[in-house]
Amino acid sequence: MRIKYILVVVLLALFFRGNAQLNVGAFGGINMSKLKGDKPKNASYTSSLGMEFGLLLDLKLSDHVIMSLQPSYAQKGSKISFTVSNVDEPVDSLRIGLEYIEIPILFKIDANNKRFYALGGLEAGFPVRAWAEYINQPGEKEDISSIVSKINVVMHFGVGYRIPLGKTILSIEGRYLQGLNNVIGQENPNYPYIPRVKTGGFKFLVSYEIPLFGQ
Amino acid sequence: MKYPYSGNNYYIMRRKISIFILFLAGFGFVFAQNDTSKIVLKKPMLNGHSFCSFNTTNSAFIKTYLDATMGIGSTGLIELPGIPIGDNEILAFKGKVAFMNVQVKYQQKFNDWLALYATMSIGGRLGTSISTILVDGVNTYNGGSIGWLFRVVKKQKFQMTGNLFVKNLGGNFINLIGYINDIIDDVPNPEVVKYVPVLNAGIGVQGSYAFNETFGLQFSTDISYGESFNRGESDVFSSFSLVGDMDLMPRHQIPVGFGLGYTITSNPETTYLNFIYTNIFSAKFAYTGSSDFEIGLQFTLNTVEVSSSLDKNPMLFKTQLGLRFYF
Repeated sequence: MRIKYILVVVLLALFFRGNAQLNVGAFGGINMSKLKGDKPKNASYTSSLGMEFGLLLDLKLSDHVIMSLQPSYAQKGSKISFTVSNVDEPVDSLRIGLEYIEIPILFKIDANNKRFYALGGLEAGFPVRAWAEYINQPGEKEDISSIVSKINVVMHFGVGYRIPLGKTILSIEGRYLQGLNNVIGQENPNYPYIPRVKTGGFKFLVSYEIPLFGQ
Repeated sequence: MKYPYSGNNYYIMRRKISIFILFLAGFGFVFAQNDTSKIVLKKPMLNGHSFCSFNTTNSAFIKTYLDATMGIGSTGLIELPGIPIGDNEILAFKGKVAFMNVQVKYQQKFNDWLALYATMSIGGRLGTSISTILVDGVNTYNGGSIGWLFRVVKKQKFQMTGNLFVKNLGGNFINLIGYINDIIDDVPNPEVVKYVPVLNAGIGVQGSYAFNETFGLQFSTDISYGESFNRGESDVFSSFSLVGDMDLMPRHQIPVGFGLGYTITSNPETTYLNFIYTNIFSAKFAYTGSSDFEIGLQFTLNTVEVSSSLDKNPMLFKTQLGLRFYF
């Protein structure tokens, strides 16, 4: 069995050596996400800051096109602010946390100068933890994973810039993300503060890549 | 000199705007720097023809530009029936319904076959008198879209591109009569103001054909699937648009362009609440003397559904000022 795996790896290595360029690396950064969609009465959603890190596998398909697989762990969520009488500004009352293992498949398209690139693609996110916390009662997190959908499909739009460091590459990226399906599908009487919502927001990432095969 | 703004806000605002313009110009320069050896045609051209932009028809050209459109319009006088109570009818009114829209779009070219674009838009309709506000309510939407534009075909006279987009809108509907109707009908938790979020994802195709340096033809079509302004209901939305335009500059040295267009659409930001198609007839006059920008006035005429109780939908006449700067 082990010999079969070794053979597959060797064959893949020969394929990439002969036909394509493969980079591997790691990335990390912050994501400013928030929930979008239906709101509880007198409420609004504000961004919540979370971290993200993962691995990347970049396969160069042609002179301008790279396919990128980027499995990662991401913290998403939102604050829910309520308008309170006699108070001018909305008051942050509730924090929703959604932690995902994400598997995006992205395409990076190089600009003519090969430094800037645009990226886009789809991501499937699988929730590993979901909670709600009243901001004035920190530490008391309520598990809401039972009402969160099992998969979150997200569309990515972004731009990046590559900085060559010898044979390796440092990249800086900004992305806009839009969830396509409802994270919470229907209003639930047990959790009236989260009606029909999707995820959305921005990510700012730094990645470090090492070329494995190819030029 | 003191400006009527508080403190240094005017200068801070002016500096922010300058930085934004410099950023956009610099961004365009960075992506276009490998083209400096060629003659850069900033405006979209095929076969010597410069195309007139219409906000009802997506452009097929992969260019970097900033576009702003502002429009305002009104229906004719309409009579709306009120609520029948017994043998009497109350709250029956006469009035007009006004429409407005503002849209800003930025498109960034990455290479000869790919661009990324984003739009921000806000629009609304409201009665021009208290009576029509009471009956029709105040409906507004805001939001935007983001998408990719990629080249499919490029020939001397013809260019076609495809696009892939996501549209995110939020509609606010204030309807006093609807609220009263809900109370009469015992609808649970009636609300005067309803907020409805809408998300659509779709694909489109757009093309341009230049007959010669004076005459051109453009088309665009898209189809999307997603939520409507009827909460909880999803549907397929589509639109098709065709525009013919002429530019008097190349042959007559008159910097004026003129175009006529037709659009049929069921997009929620145009039709608001209902799953219906609207026919839009457009005409545009534009200044075509610059290679860097285009400015023009677009006039549109279409029917709008104001109330299901009307036998015939009123006509809406709208005037829109469009500015587009190419980088």
